[in-house]
Amino acid sequence: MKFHPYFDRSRKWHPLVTRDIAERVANSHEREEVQEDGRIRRWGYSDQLNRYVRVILLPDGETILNAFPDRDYERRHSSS
Amino acid sequence: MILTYYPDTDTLDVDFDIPHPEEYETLQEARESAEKRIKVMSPSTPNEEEVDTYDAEPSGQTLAHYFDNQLHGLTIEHATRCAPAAWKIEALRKEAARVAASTGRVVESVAYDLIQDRKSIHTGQLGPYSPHTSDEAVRDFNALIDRYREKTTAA
Repeated sequence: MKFHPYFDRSRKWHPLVTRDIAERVANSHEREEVQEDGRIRRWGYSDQLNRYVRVILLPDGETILNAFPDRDYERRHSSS
Repeated sequence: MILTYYPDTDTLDVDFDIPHPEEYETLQEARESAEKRIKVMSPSTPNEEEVDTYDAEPSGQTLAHYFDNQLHGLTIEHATRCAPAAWKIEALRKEAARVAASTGRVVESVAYDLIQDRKSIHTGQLGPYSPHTSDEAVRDFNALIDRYREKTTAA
């Protein structure tokens, strides 16, 4: 997979989510949605972080734009 | 409060962590305003080691970044459309395209300190275009650079 430069810039907000973690989640996600703008969201559990992580990919499906721990998803997941 | 605009993805980072304590009152106001805006009212789990992220609105394209339950910043996607008009993101985008067209370098970001009214433009490698053309935001920005280059050539 490729990484958009924004991925590294945005790590100031979530430094624990490394390229390796983002790539693992993108490749072994449990849920996927396509945003209205064509970008793709994938969610998966990271054993390293012990958290759910959301990965955003560009519409090409190959370039990771952003990845972060997603408490929103965690809440929805635990209540369902 | 620092706004950092990334023109190639039309993304805006809003950083509430400013190093000037004398501006605390303004910072507080900014935080309160952001809290109201994003409507994240449910209690969160204390976490001292990691920054957490919430969806801040139903479309999920504004993200709120918390550290130790305190809002530290926002990320607003499609910022030219979704950021408050008073922040004049469209003007930052145009300025970034003009700089890319005139310098031949990639404009990585435009940082704007709302309180100090200071702006700085960060450029990267040679070549004004972002290569990630599968994204609409990137294509639009590349087209904007083209328009400025055509104007420059015609002038």
